[in-house]
Amino acid sequence: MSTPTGNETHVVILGDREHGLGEDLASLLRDAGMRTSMYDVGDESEHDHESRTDALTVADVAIDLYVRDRSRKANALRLIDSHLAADRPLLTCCHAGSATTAAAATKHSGRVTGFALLPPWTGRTTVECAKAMQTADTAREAVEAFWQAAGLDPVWVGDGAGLVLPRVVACLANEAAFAVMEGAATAEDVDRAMTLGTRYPRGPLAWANIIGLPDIVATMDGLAAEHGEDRYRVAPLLRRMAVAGRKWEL
Amino acid sequence: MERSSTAAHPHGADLSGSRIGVVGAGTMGAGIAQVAAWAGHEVVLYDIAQAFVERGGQAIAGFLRRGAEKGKYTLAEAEAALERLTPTTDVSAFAGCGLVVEAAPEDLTLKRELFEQLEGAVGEHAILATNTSTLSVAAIGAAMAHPERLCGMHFFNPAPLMPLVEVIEGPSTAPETVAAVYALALAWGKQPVMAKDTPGFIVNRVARPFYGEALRLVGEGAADVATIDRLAEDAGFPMGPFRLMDLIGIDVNYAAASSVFDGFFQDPRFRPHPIQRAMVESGRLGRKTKQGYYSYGESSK
Ligand SMILES: NC(=O)c1ccc[n+]([C@@H]2O[C@H](COP(=O)([O-])OP(=O)(O)OC[C@H]3O[C@@H](n4cnc5c(N)ncnc54)[C@H](O)[C@@H]3O)[C@@H](O)[C@H]2O)c1
Repeated sequence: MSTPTGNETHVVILGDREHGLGEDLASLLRDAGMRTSMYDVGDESEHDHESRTDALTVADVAIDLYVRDRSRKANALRLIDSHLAADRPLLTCCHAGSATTAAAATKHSGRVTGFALLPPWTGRTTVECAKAMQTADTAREAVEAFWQAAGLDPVWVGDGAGLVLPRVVACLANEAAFAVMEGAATAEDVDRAMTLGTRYPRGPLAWANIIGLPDIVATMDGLAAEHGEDRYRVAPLLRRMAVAGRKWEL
Repeated sequence: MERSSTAAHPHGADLSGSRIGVVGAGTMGAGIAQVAAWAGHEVVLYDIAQAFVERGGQAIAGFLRRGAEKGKYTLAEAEAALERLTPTTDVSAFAGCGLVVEAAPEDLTLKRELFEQLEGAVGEHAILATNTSTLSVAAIGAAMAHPERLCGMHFFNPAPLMPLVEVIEGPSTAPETVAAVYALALAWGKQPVMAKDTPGFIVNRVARPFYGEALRLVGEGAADVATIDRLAEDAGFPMGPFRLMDLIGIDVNYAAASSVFDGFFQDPRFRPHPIQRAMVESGRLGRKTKQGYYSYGESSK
């Protein structure tokens, strides 16, 4: 598989325009000198369709960045699969589902790998990477070169919803939401106790606000689907807040 | 809930200037006594044997004098705080205390009996608090004649350095009781939070997934211990979950996990992991045995 690095690398990101992840990743890649364009598969005009397709046709790397919206994720994977040259890497965000599930939705599944990059990214030196069951051995090298060129050290972990950090932090945020829902303490006191008592970089609820409550819910739902365990059920208050577009008041 | 008896301590709200009692001169009791004495209170420190109170007193003296040597305050200030400390093995010494904080071993029967005894020893306006991490305030106060004057005052180790105090309101606790203890914690320079009497209170409950999910990831073969720690530390956690369990003590962490799991009637969110038990059963408890998820110097195994 080709190794896309250097200034001429053209990256296409398909992701939710409203979502902070897209702009953050785009600027990270631009800072690393890559030509980066971002599209939302939700944009419906004829012109949008055309420019997306054109960009994918000439892209060296394509990234599916959808987390919370499953139908858009499926749409993005299908678009990349049919328009990105078959020897170019397809990177899929695993915050809410495995790379294997994403790869299964594509024909050229050997070039699919997963990644996780939990916000906020400032100061981050690593990116979690995961091979899908379908990933070809040759894909790994190209993906490593890409992330290294972006200034991040790829750390390979096993495939699964949420990989490592998105999973751990979503579960922390979910437990904090249960505690608030049950009246064990106020949201403000939960976060204050956690930062003072554990020295986490920020309280789990403040972190959930940064990640986005709908993404926390999506990670938990992905874990619940994969593991089939009550352990990953979403705190009802958290789900209602996510649907209502609310954030924690801290 | 019968609230009329709450009037037992209408003046209980102000503990500034009160004499403070501490039960148990171990790790936490000594730390709490030190905090109170440093804040200017007369402190009565109680334990079951002279040797234990003395050990606690020496720990406090050592801590305060080291601080003076490092130039954090003067030796005279340290000595003045030590002067305010009265060691005892006699519960009747608590007679004049406005607040008694219990930091005896984590054993329900023992704590219940202690609080019955304490109720007899203190004045009718005194507030009683327990530093329990895992037991319920309701259960501890069940045998008390006036459970409305009992609340949780949960410090973190080391108490003189950790700013957090969880003030726990049990089902029978009077609002005046928690208000007084909260205000006192603030006056001691702590950052108190209010929590209800639920298993693990805030920190010991909400922190569970940090360890539990990390252990499951290892159990599933998704990543090894060092990789997970590296990723967590890269995301801003001062220590990854495994390095942290090694520091806390794998046995201590496992006991906390098991107690919250039981407290929630085996809710699967809190289920401990077989790896934890295997580590404990094989005597690999972390740094203190030089062998845990990592090896530390010469292994004892
Ligand atoms: N160690 C921690 O990190 C920590 C943190 C928060 C809360 N706690 C809680 O604080 C309490 C004390 O824990 P610790 O770590 O200081 O234990 P510890 O073993 O260091 O100290 C307990 C002390 O209580 C004394 N004691 C035994 N029986 C007694 C009795 N009948 N009456 C009075 N004193 C008696 C012991 O002699 C000992 O000095 C426990 O409830 C524990 O759950 C501990």
